[in-house]
Order: sequence, then C-alpha cells, then structure tokens
Amino acid sequence: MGIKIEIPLIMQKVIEGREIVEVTGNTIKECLTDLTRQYPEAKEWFDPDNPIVWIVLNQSIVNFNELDTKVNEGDALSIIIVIGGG
Amino acid sequence: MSAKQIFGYTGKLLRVDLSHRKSSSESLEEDLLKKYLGGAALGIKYIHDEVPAGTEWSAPENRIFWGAGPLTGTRMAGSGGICGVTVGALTNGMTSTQANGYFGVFLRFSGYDGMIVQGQSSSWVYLHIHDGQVDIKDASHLLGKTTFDTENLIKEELGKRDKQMSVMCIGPAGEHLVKFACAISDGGHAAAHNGIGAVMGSKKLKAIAVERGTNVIPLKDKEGINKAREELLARVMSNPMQAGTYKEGTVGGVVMSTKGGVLPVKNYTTGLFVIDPEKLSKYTCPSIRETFKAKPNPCWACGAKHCHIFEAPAGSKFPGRILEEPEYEGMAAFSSEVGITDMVNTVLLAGEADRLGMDVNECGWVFGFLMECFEKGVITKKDLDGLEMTWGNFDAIIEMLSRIANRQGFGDIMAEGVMKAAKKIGGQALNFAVGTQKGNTPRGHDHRVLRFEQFDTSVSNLGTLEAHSLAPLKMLGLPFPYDTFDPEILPSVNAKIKGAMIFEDSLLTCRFQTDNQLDIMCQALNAATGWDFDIPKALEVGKRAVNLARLFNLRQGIDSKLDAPSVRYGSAPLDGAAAGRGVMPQWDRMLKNYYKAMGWDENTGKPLPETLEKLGIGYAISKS
Repeated sequence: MGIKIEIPLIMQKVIEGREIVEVTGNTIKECLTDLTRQYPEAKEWFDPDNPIVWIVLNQSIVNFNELDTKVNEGDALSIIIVIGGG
Repeated sequence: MSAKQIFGYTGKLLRVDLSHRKSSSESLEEDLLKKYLGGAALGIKYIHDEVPAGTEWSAPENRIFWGAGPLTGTRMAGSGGICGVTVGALTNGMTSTQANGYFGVFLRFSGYDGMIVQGQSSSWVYLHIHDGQVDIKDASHLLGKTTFDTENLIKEELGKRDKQMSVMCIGPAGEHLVKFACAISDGGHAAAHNGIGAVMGSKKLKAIAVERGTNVIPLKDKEGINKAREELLARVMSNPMQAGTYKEGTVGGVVMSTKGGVLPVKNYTTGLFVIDPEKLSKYTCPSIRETFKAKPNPCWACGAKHCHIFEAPAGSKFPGRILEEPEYEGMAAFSSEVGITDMVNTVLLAGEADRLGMDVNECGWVFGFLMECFEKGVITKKDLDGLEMTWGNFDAIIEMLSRIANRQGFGDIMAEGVMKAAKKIGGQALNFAVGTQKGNTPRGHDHRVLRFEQFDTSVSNLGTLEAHSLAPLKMLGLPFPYDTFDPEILPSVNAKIKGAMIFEDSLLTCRFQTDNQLDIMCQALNAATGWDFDIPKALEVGKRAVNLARLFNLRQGIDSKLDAPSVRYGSAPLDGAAAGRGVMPQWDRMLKNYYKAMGWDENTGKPLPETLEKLGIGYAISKS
C-alpha cells in the first residue's frame, strides 16, 4: 500500500531534500522500515532508546510501542522533531 | 477570628521591606487566587500593580515576588517549584523565572504561598524565615562566596541540614550586578533568567533561607491528587521522549541536538557542530554520569532520575569539586557554542557559572559573541588584558567568567549581557550579537531552525520563552503537525498556545514531569482546591498574565519596535538544515498576524480594551 510520509525540514538533509517520501507498508513499522531502506541515514532518527522524533498518524501521536498500528490508503504519516524549549 | 480556609493555599503572603527592615503578613483572597492561581500569574499581577511606570530594575521601587502555587508541596509529581517575578536587569521589563528543588515547598510549610521583597537594604543582609517569622540578618561575612558556599555556610550557621532548610542565594555575579546573574537554591537549582540575581544584589539581599516549617496545606481531595499523579506518570512514560527525560534528564541533549541540527554553534556562524564521533559519544548521559560519579539529588515529589550531584574527576581542572548535573542548556552553552569538544571541560564550565551565580544560557552567548569578536579582530588580546579568547579555549573562559562575575577589566562590559555589550563595543560587534531587541538572548538552540522558539522569544514579554512549542496542540484543537515556517500559521498557533506555559508556571510543577498535560494539571488543581478548572479556564489565567506583562512593558517603554530579533538572531543560516531561510522578509506580516490573534492593536501591539475586559482585567486599562 502506498503511503506518503511528511518529512520535517531538519531531517530532509538525509532524505535528499525531499518534503514528502512515498513508502509502502501495511503498518507504521513497515512504512518506516521502507523509509530507512530507501534512505539508510534516516535510521539514526528512529532509535527507540534515544528517540528524537514523534510519529504522527492522522494528527495523533503514535507511541513507539504502537508501531504495529495498521495504515490505510489515504492515511497521513508525519515525522515531528521533538527538540524544543530549552 | 481566623481567616477563611482556602483549599490548596496557606492564604498568606509575606512582605519584607528591606528599606525599613520590617516584615508583615497579608491575606490572599480566594477570588484573587482563582484568577491568578500563584507563581507566575500572581507575581505578574503584583508587579504590574505595585511597581510604578518607568522604574529601573535596580531601583528600590522594584520588587521581587517569589511565589509557590496551589500544588506546591503536595504529592503531585514535580511540585517543588518556585517562581520569581520582577523587573529584570537585561530587558528592564517583566520577568518570570522558575526553579525547582524545595524552596517553594518550605515557604508554604512556613505558612506563606509567596513573598514580596521590596525596598533596598543599606547593608548586605540575608533573610531567615522560620515558621512564619522573619529575621533580617547580617550577610557581610558571605560576600564574595559562591552560591554553593553561601548555601552551606548559612545552613551551618543556623544549624540546619539539607532537606531541613532551603536557601535561595546569589553568588559574586549577583553582588556585582551582572545583568544575567541568577538566584540558586538547593545545590544548583537556578531561577536563571533576566538577571533576577542582579535585582537581589541591587537590594543587597544575599540570600533567603527558609526552614521546613510545620504548616499543613489544606487539600480538598488528597486521593484526587494521587490519582492525577498516577495518570500523569502513565501518560508521560508512554511517550518515548518524555520517558527518556524521566530517566536521563536533559544532560545528554547535545548528542540529540547534534543529530537534529539544532545546536547553537559558534555564535550562529555555522549550524554544523564538527566533533569527532568518539568525543561526541562522551556527551551521552550514561557517560557523563559515570565520569562525574553522579549521586541522585531529586526535587520535592520527583520520581524521575533527573537531577544529580556530580564530583569532578581526578585529572580534571578541579578534581573533587562538587557540582550539580547541568541541564542541556549548560552543556550546549559550553560545548558547540564556544567550540569546546571535551565533555569534562563542558561540565566544569557549566558548574563554574552556577558557582559564580550566572545564567549558563546567557554565558554561552556571551562567550560565543566574545570569541567571534576576537576571531575577527573587533576585540584584541590587549583589550582582554592578555587573554586569548579563541574558540575552545577553556582556561580563557574560566578566567573571563571570574572577571565578569567581579566586573574586572573587559568583564565589566560583558557583565552587561550580549546585547548591551555589543552596543558598548559598537561597529561590527552589533552584527554579531545573538539576542532580541529587548536585550535578552535566546535559549540554547539554533532558533533559526526552530522558528517557533525564535518567534516566541522575540515577542515574549518575560525575557525568555513565553510559550512552549511542545504544548499539546491537539488537546487545544490546533493543527498538528503544522508548518512552523508558515508566516500565517505560526503566529496564530503561538497566540492560541499562549497562556498554557504560564498556567503551569503558576501551579509550579516541573515541566519535565508534567509534559504540558493540561487536562491532568486541571484535574490536580481541582483536587487541591475544589474548584472547577478546565483547559479554557487554565489558558485564561495565562493569557491574563501575558496581557498584564505586555501592558507593564509598554509602560516601561518596551514597545512593538522591540518585538524583533537582532541582526544575527534573525539572519538566514549559511549552512545546516535551514540554510538560506531567513525570517526577516516575513517578520512584519508575522507580527501583525500575531497581534491580531492576541486581540491587540495590529500596529502598536497594545492590548485592546475589549481583550482586557474579556479576560476580567479591565481595571488595567486605566493604568496603561
């Protein structure tokens, strides 16, 4: 299933400057795996022991223990950088 | 007849007049507390109402409000906070700055929800608060002492141990009116922003020591607070980012920010932190804690493994020295910002700033600025009395920290903070200063990438961030995610979030514990007080405070022209994630959008009368 992932600006340097990447997968995990297959440098962003991103599915944050959540055609996946404040 | 009991409060405010060396107790009415809660919002209300227009930060007419909140001292997670509100030294405008630890808790256990310090002492003093009584004591023997030594000496003098007394004090920097001097309590917890330590220094107030009293805070529903605490913990631990902070604090944030491309690097001359991977690996939390033999030093009601006491390792510059575990900002300030790549030296410098009583965050910008000036020949070795202020020069920074704290030589100029120092130096220096036109510097990231923070810092009325980018947007009915580079959406989101952070700072709960979970915070507040707060009411408290701070600053001459970044702060990065994307072409448009969304005049940024009336602060119209 084709899903589009929105990539935040500061991550785009490892995704060839692209804002949207098309991936395939039936779950969030499969989609992220496909993303890191296409762009291996993105792997460091998804380290569950040192996370620096939120995964957002249709405006809801997905916890790292919920990555087996199914995705459907038309779903919007986004990656949000969580560094902020001070 | 005793005053009516108010659940969640002691119902009393302590007032200390240093000019006349007397203290008094005042009742706090429930209607006032319902509108302002405590901490930040209540403090802003008092400073707005009591400090005359045009008052200089160092004048006797300035006042310092130290306030706890209705959850302080309860079992709610992270409820050990205290908030200082005053006219700050860097901006000469409203300031709100928080610290955790025990000071607020012990103040409440001594019978007070807050205190106001006013006037100016003729000689150096410290305050000793014990079960409702206040002694004003001589502090001449404490002059020149570091914050750590001051705390220990006062406890020794009064025969108290840790957890029996909390001491909020200043170091040499505050004594010498360094404009980014902070106040520090409980072994390193800093109320850091906008020079509140300098304001204490201007009043010749070296410290406030408060004993753990025996006052009991009446709570409407203790079980309800326990329930809120459990729910909060469950929610926080399900968020990997928050769970990480719970376990490891923020000390390892340099590694994460390096990956994220948001570190402040060499005064914004680049966005790329060039560091050997082996050296970067030393900046992880486990490595830092192991090197410094970390021992837990938790705040009141904190279950997180966040704060620790450190001991400097053998072979370092200061072997055996006791420090507090720095937060991320101290680590960033003394690594990427100044070109240091040795983790041990980074921690030692953050600790030295704490000991001298200076805001580590501003320190980072001060040294980044100074080093760029030195590199480009704007400041010479001769100007610095022989110091070579080159990138990464640890010994030069140590020496200059001392000169700043004691206002010696060129340190006297840098003690003014980056923005004022740049004006004094003039020429090219004006283009190197990272800060806002109001006079404060940003928090420790490259905000040209984190545009929410850049915008909020520049329009804030408080000398630091006024809103938090990680507020639960969906809970507030806002788009999530959204494009932070969009000049229409960003100001609108900022205006709608505004109030959330001040609400939290009025309850005085630690953001690392509560994670902006406004619904649970309302639940805890209601359990403590028996009130019926929901998220809209919570935001109203914060918005009231923002509007009063805005009106106060306008009275101080801080107008819309100063709602802007400095040349460098607003510049387009030359490299890194946001290369070439500067904010200034969109600034005026963003500002107008923001003012409109806030219910302020679109041109002057002045709150409109109907906005004030709607928030229940119409009384402020006549004062503005």
